[in-house]
Amino acid sequence: MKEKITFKALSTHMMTGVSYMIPVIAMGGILQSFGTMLGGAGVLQQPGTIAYMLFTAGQAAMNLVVPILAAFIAYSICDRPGIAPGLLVGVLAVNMKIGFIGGIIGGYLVGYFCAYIKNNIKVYSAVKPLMPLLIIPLAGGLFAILLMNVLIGPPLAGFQEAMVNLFKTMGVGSRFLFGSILGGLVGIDMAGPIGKIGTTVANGLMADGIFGPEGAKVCCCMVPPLALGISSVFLNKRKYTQQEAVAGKSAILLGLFQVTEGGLPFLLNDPLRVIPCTVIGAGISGGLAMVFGVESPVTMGGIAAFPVMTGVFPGAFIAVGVGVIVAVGLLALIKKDVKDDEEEKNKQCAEDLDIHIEL
Amino acid sequence: MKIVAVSACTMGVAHTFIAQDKLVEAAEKMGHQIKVETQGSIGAENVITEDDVIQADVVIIAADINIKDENRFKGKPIVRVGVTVAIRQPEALLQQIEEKLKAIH
Repeated sequence: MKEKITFKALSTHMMTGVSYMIPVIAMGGILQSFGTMLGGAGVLQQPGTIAYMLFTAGQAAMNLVVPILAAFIAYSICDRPGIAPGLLVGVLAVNMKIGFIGGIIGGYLVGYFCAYIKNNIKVYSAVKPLMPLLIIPLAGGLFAILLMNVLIGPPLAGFQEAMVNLFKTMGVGSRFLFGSILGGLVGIDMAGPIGKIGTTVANGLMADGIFGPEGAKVCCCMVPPLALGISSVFLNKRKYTQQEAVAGKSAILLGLFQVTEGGLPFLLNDPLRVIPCTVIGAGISGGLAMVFGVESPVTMGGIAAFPVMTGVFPGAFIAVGVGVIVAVGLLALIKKDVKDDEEEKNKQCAEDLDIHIEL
Repeated sequence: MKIVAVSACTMGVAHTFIAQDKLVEAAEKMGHQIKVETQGSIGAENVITEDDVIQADVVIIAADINIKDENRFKGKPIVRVGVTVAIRQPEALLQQIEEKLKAIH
């Protein structure tokens, strides 16, 4: 596909990569934590045990995270020929310890490089079958080597280590700030495209071995649906429609298991009043989780993830609890009693929308 | 109108399927025929066939990621939106498509 490089295109490629990366993180993280649960902290000193096998397999899987991300960013840009060089640039990024950031930049550059070759270099028809099978991957691979060893590798060298150190030495204030920004992003659209900016950073840091932001993510992602559910089902029934009251029950359940999307029905009905509450609630929750040192080796699960996380008690309980209480309180203050303004809302929506039909 | 649509979001577990529901709901209400293929994390479901494409007046791609097998829609009018548009304002979306298609014909 020939295309301009726009922010939307960049974000689509990133999200395509992330969508393939998530199951890898989930599998690797959970295998590692099973290993730790069975074998304890000294799991690596017990070769041959099941715990050791689980843990090392989990580590191996986590090493695949950045390559998969890079490969599928490249795949999104230039289709199948991008996968091989994308994987390579990702593996090189991991080897050079510039993990996540290197993988993303590498994935984009390799993808666009391969797309350029694909779209601009014309060859004899006899050679054509070789293009996707050999020439583009090989050229992309050489480009990946150049990137990682000369162009972006050296400037980024030590970046990952610096990030790890930064998180280790971060003071209480900056921890809180980081966590609350993460939570705030999640609260804006219930872990939709905007929230994904924050959660992708947390997932990436986790792939680089920093588990704090992921812990904050687990906590703050639970807050919006829990708060909206509790508010609509128990505390402020008059402020919600009948449909919302039904959605509220499932929102509580979804919230417990960290499916932030459970809050979506509420946000869609009344974005201007719901968003500030969820942003502040999730923000406080994320901040507190960082301050209390909640860490998670898994990306999803909510209360199901608690057993494999560290700093859960009291940290995660406080973070989630306070976040929910604050959000519920704000909802009680800000939400209005339900009126029939459906029609007006639909009209307004139609005006914002501007579509384009490609023929 | 006969519509075929593909929905796909980043995680592929929630927004994808909400978008499908909303589009189907809106289309039924407005008297259109629609088939929505979901490209979730689980893979493609309710897959759009060649016949569906031939009969369709318009293709809606409601996705935050690049969808699979876009080539099969070649030659059809395509409308691209983010998943959230299909979720938030499905009726306005279909209405606008209808108007713009009419203007073209």
